[in-house]
Amino acid sequence: MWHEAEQQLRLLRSVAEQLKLPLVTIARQAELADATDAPLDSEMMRLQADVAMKLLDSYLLGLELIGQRQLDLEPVSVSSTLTDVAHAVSNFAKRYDVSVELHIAGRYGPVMAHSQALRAALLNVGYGLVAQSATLEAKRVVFAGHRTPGGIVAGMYTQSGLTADAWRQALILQDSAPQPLTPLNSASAGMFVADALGQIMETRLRVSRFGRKQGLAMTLQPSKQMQLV
Amino acid sequence: MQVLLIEPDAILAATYKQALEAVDAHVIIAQGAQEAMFAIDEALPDIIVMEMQLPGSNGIAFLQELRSYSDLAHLPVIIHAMHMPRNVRAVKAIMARDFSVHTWLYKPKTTIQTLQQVVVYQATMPATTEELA
Repeated sequence: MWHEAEQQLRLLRSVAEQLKLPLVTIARQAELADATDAPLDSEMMRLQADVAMKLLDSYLLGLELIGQRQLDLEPVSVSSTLTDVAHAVSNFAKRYDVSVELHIAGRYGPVMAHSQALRAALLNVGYGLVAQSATLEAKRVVFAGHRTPGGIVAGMYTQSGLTADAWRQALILQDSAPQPLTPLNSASAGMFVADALGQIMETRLRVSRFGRKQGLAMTLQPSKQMQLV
Repeated sequence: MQVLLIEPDAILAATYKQALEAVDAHVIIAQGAQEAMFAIDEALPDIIVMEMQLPGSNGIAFLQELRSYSDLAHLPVIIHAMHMPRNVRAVKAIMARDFSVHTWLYKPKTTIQTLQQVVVYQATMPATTEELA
């Protein structure tokens, strides 16, 4: 119980730390426009506010779902969710000069998931990886879905060199020591929230590979009900 | 005045660049430690303004390398960080003692105007930077 409460607190701290970036960006942009002739970049401010609100909403969704006795999982299309999320982050990615690509390998039917939680989780990972890949030489994030013996994998990939050890370390430390989380930086809070949402759906956000890229992905179970139809 | 701005977030970096250019600074942006070292090799800045959380490295590692070069040992550095360490007094003392860094600005509380003033002051009067600590 104490461990759970401690984990919740760390996640909350991590979210609070993460929210500073969009808020500082908006505040400094507004000051700059007031103090100089620089035009107010309202689109950028809206995008930053959107990212902040999505993170907050996802965190709150996680809290709400934890409180439910039984989670209502339903058949959800991974390809449709990935397409939707890729589209949702595309304007944000443009501002960071990051290209977003979508690779859906084959048709694999729906998975059992909480549709809102899955979308929120993937969206937060997407925003995080876009911001991170802006610091890489290859400014590209690939949204990909593929089938494995363990289930359907929905993930996002960059050339960050992210390893399972770095991700494990990041999850353990979360808010406590942002410094050594190479190559994860402060964009990680959204990923921690995504992992928490994954856990509610009985999966985890794990390091995964797609071609020569590394990223974070969730493995979801195909919907048996739909397979029978 | 040439400023090397080490800021991993591209949008925030562009905002600070504009702000510093408004006080006649020539600003070079580096998103990480390695890029910053390359930039210093290209042209020696008058001052460095840096975030501590850097992709692929961290601020301490960068400062260790920077101060290991005798010609860069006294180059003024301002920490401009999004996160305030919990033991801030101890960290500031270590930064001053080991890295000759005397100014730690907390981004959420540092306005554009304050940043401009501190950068101009430190770039032009590096010998008296301790007064600002």
